[in-house]
Amino acid sequence: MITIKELSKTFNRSVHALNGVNLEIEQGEFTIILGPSGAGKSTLLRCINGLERPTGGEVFFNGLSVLDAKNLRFIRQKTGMIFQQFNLVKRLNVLQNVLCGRLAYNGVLTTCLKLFPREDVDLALHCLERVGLSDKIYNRADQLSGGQMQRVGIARALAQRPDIILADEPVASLDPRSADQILDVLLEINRADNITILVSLHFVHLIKRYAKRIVGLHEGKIVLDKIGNDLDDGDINIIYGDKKEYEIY
Amino acid sequence: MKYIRNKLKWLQKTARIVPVVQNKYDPKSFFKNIGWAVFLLTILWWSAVGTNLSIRTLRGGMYGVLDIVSRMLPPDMASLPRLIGPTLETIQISIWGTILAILLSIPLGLLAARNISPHPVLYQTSRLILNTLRAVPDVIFALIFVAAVGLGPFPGVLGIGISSAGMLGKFLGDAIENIDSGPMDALKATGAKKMQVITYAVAPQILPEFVSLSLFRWEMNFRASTIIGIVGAGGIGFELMTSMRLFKYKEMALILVLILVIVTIVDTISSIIRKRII
Repeated sequence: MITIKELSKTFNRSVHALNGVNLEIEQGEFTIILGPSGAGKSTLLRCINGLERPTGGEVFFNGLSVLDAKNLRFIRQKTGMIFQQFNLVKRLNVLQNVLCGRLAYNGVLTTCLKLFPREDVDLALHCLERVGLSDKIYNRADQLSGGQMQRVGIARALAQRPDIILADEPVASLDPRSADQILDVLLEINRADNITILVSLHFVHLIKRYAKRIVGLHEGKIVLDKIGNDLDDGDINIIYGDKKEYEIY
Repeated sequence: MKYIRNKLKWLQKTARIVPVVQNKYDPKSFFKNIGWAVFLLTILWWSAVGTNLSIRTLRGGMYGVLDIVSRMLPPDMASLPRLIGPTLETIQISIWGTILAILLSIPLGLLAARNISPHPVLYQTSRLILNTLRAVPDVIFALIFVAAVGLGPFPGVLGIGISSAGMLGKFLGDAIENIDSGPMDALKATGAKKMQVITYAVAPQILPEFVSLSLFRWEMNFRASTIIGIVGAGGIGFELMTSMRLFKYKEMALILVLILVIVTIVDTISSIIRKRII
């Protein structure tokens, strides 16, 4: 459903974040993108929903080019995204944050008056139930813990009824227990709803439990692409090279 | 020269007190800062000379200050009933002036924020308009509107509104430029339209700041509306001007007391609203 061809992204004409990436993602896959920080994981994910404009190459979403401005809104509507810093609107409550996922489906006038169709509110409540936050609906987002914030982020993505969820380092700011919970929720969504999920991580130890396919990224290039969840020392060496940062975790 | 350089190097190595600067420990920046300090002191000295700054003259003039203050006391309470009307009118001018300023500053401020402005040309135009509004003193605007719509409080409202829109719009634009771009990215990523992103990701982030600034501006506008009364734009300023011209210092003192009372009330109301919002 996602086809990436010869994708490159250069920042300030000198920093090559991505360097000719080719990748094919099938509907319903749970893929982990692994790589040290600075390998281009975020840039890759942000190119898929057009938050970053590539300097070369192409990205297709179900055959539609992401680079075409006409398609962008539709593609984004069908693409949920979860961020390392959660990116909730802190002064809005949990329900409002989740309803942000429904904005694209509704008119500007009603939503700017904070009016939503009842089905959307019911859907948002259902999404919150799925991530286990039914008791926090009217709490302000900045009153939540990190793990709870990320679950609101997931509920917001779910409320879009997406075909794919992009998770950009979703657990990098969380403690190990919350991290496991978040990845469990993502896995459950992948299984139950057949939503394609693309997670970027720089931990190695989480791989074994979650990955079905591992894509290794190193300095903007794909250096590993394997089905399964086994990484041997050779694989780790290919992805991390002499950067032994994975050992810290 | 070489001697001095060597001496400095020796100092850098042996000094027991070393400057710690923000980015990187760099002894050179310490001397750069000294250069800046000298430059600033020169400017201060230059301005002092230009404005005839002199403590001796001030000391000599204390008699004049005491003279005027003594003529102002006690305030002339007998004119109080006559001044109530103009005082209330000044409050009304400040309220509508501020509301007009807010209404004008929102579109200008949105265009004047680099991160959400739809086009660089609109950004520059809006910044230019805001700068112009701030450059022209409010008295001039009031004068223009007195000529346009006649004497009275209405030109006062227009003058206050337009001149304070310049400041509110600039601050709004700056505040938007400083917001956390994360929530904006997140909402853009859901496919939300621009107005929706502004309502849901930008507005909540700048609301507390904008509200407290508008309230502060309201207080400033109250004081400003006393001044613009001088050009015939209504309110208590007109009375203040008249009593000054007629050397009625005791009446003037009463007007100043009235302004003080209102400013205090406005300030109290502002802080109550501010607490509620944040």
